[in-house]
Order: sequence, then structure tokens, then C-alpha cells
Amino acid sequence: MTDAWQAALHWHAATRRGDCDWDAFTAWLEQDAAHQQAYAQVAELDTQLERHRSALRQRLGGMDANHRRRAWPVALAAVLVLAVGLFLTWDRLPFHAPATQDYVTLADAREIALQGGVRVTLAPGSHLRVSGSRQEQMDLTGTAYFDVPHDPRRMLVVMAGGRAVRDIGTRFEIFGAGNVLKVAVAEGHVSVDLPGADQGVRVEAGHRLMVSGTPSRAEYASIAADDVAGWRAGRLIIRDEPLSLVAAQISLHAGVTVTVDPAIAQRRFSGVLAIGDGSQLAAGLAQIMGLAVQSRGGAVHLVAADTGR
Amino acid sequence: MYDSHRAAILRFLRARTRDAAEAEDVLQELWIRLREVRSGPIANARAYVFQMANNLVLDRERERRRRQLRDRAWTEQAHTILQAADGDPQAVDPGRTPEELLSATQECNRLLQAIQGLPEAARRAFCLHKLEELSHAQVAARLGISRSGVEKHIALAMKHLRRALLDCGPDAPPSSTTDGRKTS
Repeated sequence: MTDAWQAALHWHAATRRGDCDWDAFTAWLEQDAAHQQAYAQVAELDTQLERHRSALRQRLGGMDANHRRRAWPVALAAVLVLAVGLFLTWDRLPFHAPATQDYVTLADAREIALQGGVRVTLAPGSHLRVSGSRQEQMDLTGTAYFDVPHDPRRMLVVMAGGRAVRDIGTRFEIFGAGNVLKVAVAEGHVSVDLPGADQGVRVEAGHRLMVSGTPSRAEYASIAADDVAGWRAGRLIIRDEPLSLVAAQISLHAGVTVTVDPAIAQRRFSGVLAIGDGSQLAAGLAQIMGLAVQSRGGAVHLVAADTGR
Repeated sequence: MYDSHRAAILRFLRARTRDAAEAEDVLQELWIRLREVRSGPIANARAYVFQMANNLVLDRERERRRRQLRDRAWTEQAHTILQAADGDPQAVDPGRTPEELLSATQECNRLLQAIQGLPEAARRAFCLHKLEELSHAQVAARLGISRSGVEKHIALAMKHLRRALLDCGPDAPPSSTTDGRKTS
């Protein structure tokens, strides 16, 4: 029966996508009356779900933001008193609350305490969105340092640079923007989803993984665990990273967009930059690497010195 | 394009409805609809006609179910505002009667309760896929499980919902030719 249901879901999805093999679908329907019934019921259920999707999303989203178990009787009571017309007032019901929380930093880093003893230090110029009933789902743009107490019952998932980083307890740093991701682990290990890999790629303590480019390319290397998230102590510690990635991280602290000429984007940099107020970072990098700094309407562009004139 | 696919479509409709007379009816309706279509060239005419045939069956199933619910609501709530109607539920306009509004609200409430009653893992996979509209792969990434795990969760969730929602309607299958399994 489960097979019939899974198959029915498959066929239903195929008809919705428009790539259904109608002859094969016909043959499947002919095989068994139960197939036809399962398909008809799947289609009917889906119609109902579609009709009420936004209302359900709103009401269930509100539930997830609170403690689900405790909210059950409240929600049930609320459901029971709902009558004709009352459904117009959903968003005023007590269990409706925003399911996500956003944290944004400008010039200063910020400490964030989340459920389960999870502590996040959000670097300047970054955005962290937290959701899930246990605040276990996050979306990160920018840099953050995570200190997660070990708890096998909770899987923390951080989406950054278009990939998922999973963790059940460790200390690590993530930089993510666009399709670029850097994960550096100080203690324990995390798992990163890479396209084409069935299982997550494990990043061990004292290592960092960089993923960038299209098609994406991943690099795994060892680092000093103490260097992870050095920005918390005012230093940007870079070890063998392409200039494009260095520039993206500098942008956060500088408060302006720093870009590099594609011709030198893949050149490597290793070193320690003092962050200060962030304004001298691009110039400091340019000096070490022999680059020229161009100012482009508030943004900073780095080019090879000989093309800079 | 209709004629060349007629046999295959009729076969599909028979399998889809399990009712030869109903299949012929739908085929007739399909033919009329297709004559009304005056759009430009269609990329995949065969798929288009099949899709349309399937949609017609879905519409009919939906309409039949709505009528059954209305009949049932009528007998259960004979004292409601609809008593003013002439007593024949079929005569009630299927548009926006208070009863329809009520049944839409009830439908939403039943869905909500059924979803809340799902096992935790199935509920999460189901909500991400069906409500947040994430793909199976995205749900798998979010929950840290395999894609086949996601598919199983969603099939399980749909079965639960079916039990909670559809079985509370009239038990009799819509057409007499559907399999005659004993009611449990």
C-alpha cells in the first residue's frame, strides 16, 4: 500500500511538472484498482492543501515559533471556536508569532544566545536568520562563529553560500555569501553538503573547507585551531585563500564592497591583517600583495599594480 | 491531433476512472473543449491533450466530492440558514453559500488538525515540501536525511491525512465499478 502511495505521489508530481509519461501512467493505473484510488486521493488531498496552503503555513508557522507541545491545547481550543468568518482574524490569534528571527550587524560584532545554550558571534556586516521550533535552522550571509554544546538530539543546520552545514556540537566559523562558502572548525567536526556527494563532507577540527566557483570547487586544508574566527580578537587571519574570498571577508569589516579584478581573483594570500576600524584593510592587503586600489563610487576595487595606472 | 491519440486517451480515461461510461463522457467533453482551444501551436500536443483529459477527471471527482459533502452537511445541519432554500441541495448554487464558506473553513481546520497529529519527522518533511514548497532535495538537506527518506515521510503523511480527511466523507467510492472491497 505504501508503494502504491509513493508511486501515486510520483505520478501526481509528474503530471504537475508536465513531464509525465502518459502511457506508463496508464499502464500503472490499469495494474490495480488500488493504484487508481491512491492517485485520485493524492490528487484530491493536494488540491485541498493548495487551496489552504497560505492559511496553513501561517497557522503552523505560528505554532512552530512557540513550544509546540504547550501550544497544542491552545491551538485546539482556538480551532474549536473558529466559525464562519472568524478565519479572517487568524493573524490576531494568540499562537500566531513570527517563526523567524533576524539578526543584522553593521560595524560591530554581536553576541547572540539561542536555545539549547547555542552561542553565535555574528561578525560585522552580516545577517543571520534563525528559524525552526528549536532555533536549529539558520541562514547566514557574512561571517559568524558558532559555539554549540554537544546534543545528539538536535541537528543545527546553517545554510550559507548555497550549502548546508550541519552540526550537533562543536565550535566553528562560517563565511558564506553568494555561492562562496568557507567553514573552519576549531573543535569537533561539522558536515557540509556538496553537490554530487551523497553524504556530507566532514570537516574536522583544525581544518577548513572552501567552496566556490561554477562549477563549484572545494578545497580542504589544515589550519591552526586557534586561528579560527581571529576577527573576534581584531585580526583577520587568512591562510592560502583566493583574493576574491579575502576581499569578500574584508568587505564585512570595511563596511564597503571590496572587489578584485577577475584577472587576479584566484591569486593566493596568506597573512594576518589588523582590522582596526576596517577602513585600512583593503589598502593593507593591496600593499602586501602589490596591488593598486581603485575607488568606484564608494566601492573599492583592487587590480594588479601595473594595470592600476 | 485529437484523432491520432484517441485510442490511447480513451484507454487512459478508462484506467483513470475505472468506469467505461464515465470515460466516454469525459472523452466527449474533451473533444468539445479542444474545439474551443484557439491558441497557437502547442509544443507537445499529445501531453497537452492527456493533461487536459486528466484535469477533466480531477474536476469531476472534485465536483462529485463537493456534492457528497454538501448532501451530508445538509442532512447533519438541516436547521441551518439553508433551510430557506427549496430543500433540494442540488439546487443550491455551488458558489459562495454560507455553507460552502463553512465547509471551506472546516476543511482548513481539519487539515490543520490532521497535520498537527502527524508523527514529528513526517510532519516536518511534509510541511517543508507541501507548505513551504521546498523540493525533495531541499527538504533532505534541511532535515539531514536522504531523499528516499523524505519521500517515505511524505507518503506516510499523505496516508495519514487521507485517513483523517477523506475517510470521514461518504465511504462509497464515486463510481459503482470501483473495486468492491469490504468496508472494514
